[in-house]
Amino acid sequence: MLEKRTFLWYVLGLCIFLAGWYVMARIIHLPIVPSPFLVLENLVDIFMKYIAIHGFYSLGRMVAGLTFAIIVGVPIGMCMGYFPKCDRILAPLVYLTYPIPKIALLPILMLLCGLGELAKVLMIFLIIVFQVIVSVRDGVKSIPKETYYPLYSLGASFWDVFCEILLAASMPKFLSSIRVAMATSISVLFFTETFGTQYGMGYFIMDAWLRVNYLEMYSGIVVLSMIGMILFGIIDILEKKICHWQYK
Amino acid sequence: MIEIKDLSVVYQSSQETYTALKDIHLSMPMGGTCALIGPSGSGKSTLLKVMAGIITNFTGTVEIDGQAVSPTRQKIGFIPQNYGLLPWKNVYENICLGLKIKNKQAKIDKNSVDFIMKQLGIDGLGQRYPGELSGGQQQRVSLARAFLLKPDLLLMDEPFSALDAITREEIQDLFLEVWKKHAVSTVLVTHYVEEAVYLGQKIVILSTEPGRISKIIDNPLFGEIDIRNKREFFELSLQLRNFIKEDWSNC
Repeated sequence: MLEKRTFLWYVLGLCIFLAGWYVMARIIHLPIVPSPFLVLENLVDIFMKYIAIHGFYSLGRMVAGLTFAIIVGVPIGMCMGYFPKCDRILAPLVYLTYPIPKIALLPILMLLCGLGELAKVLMIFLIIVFQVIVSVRDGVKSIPKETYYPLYSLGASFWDVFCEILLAASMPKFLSSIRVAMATSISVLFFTETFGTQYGMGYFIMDAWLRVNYLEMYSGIVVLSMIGMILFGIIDILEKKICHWQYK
Repeated sequence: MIEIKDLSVVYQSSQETYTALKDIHLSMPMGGTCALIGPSGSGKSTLLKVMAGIITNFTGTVEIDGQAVSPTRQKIGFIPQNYGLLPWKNVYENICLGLKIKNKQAKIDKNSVDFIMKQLGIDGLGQRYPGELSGGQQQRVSLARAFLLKPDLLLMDEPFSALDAITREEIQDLFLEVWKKHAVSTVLVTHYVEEAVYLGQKIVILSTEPGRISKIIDNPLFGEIDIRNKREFFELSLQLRNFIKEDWSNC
């Protein structure tokens, strides 16, 4: 029931978006803003033929970067949150490197890792990992000390505390950090895909633009935003599944 | 026998040293209850944490049955003021948590969990989450967790203070009833004189700066039926209250 209602809200959102787009297209009335219906028609035509492969490449890079960021960021964030000493040593390092605009590092990454997949995945990793570290750390820090006492008094090991408390307690903040980082990383992914590759939504959109094929360009943009929506949707579902206790 | 000898706890911060507890001597028989009552800053919670093995930086000895207190060696149940339930685990999982940590692989007998839940009047709530429960129900869950564990020592930090007066009396009765069946050695910290008189076989009055014991009373009224409505109960409470007023104003 609830899922159905959520789905209807998504449909409504889509309708409002399309209506806005349609009105804009009618007002501007230039080939550079085509009607959404033409774009959708074009999208249906070429999706399987041309776009799908690019979409999968982009999605793959996102997932790889994200996974890598979680594997590295969660343990570091947990240690920083749980062990004050660890926080004291690592916090300045994180604060110093966090504000560096990661996109500025792209040329260096490309020189070091080549033009291939690694540089692109690393770029996404770099954007997401800091958000994960900081929010997991804050999540762990915000656990009241009393929560640990019943476990300590039973002689619980760090592993017990990790499994029973840290993991679950930091999950909500962790998921919302992924949500925040995701939008940035999709934009940056687009940028990285305009170099050194012939696959990916970034390449597809820029290529269509250079060919002055606006319909294809918009189709690409729609697919990119769909990828975003799917990823956000997955995070929402995960949150409902794992963190449902929050809403009790 | 639970025995505390010459216990002192000093907190050391960069600017100052603060003596939280000084020269505490206390002994209580196994299977008894002891109520600690004292003003803020008298080190009640500190004493509890020392007995729980959470604070290990102290001088003196704390022994349970002749063995130095240690969370890994003994079974120590600890109920903090906020009940210590994990909001991401349902009631059943919360109750089993103590055994899960202590016994590792050993399988938990579902019947004994059901039994203890029934005893505490929370049967049927197993699938609920702490956020869906009232304060009184949460307290019952934390008691169920503690009693299921069959601890050598049960420590409770102001366990009933967040409950409204009526619920508090209900849970106090329930606690005593279940406690009688399991005979778990219990130390509880409280702010209320009546609670100390009702639940404490031994009543320990602490005073502040530094935290030390100013009086230990063997409570003659403990365990009597319907004691809360009797004259002796009021008299003892009043007597204690007067002593406390005088004692604490001298600090």
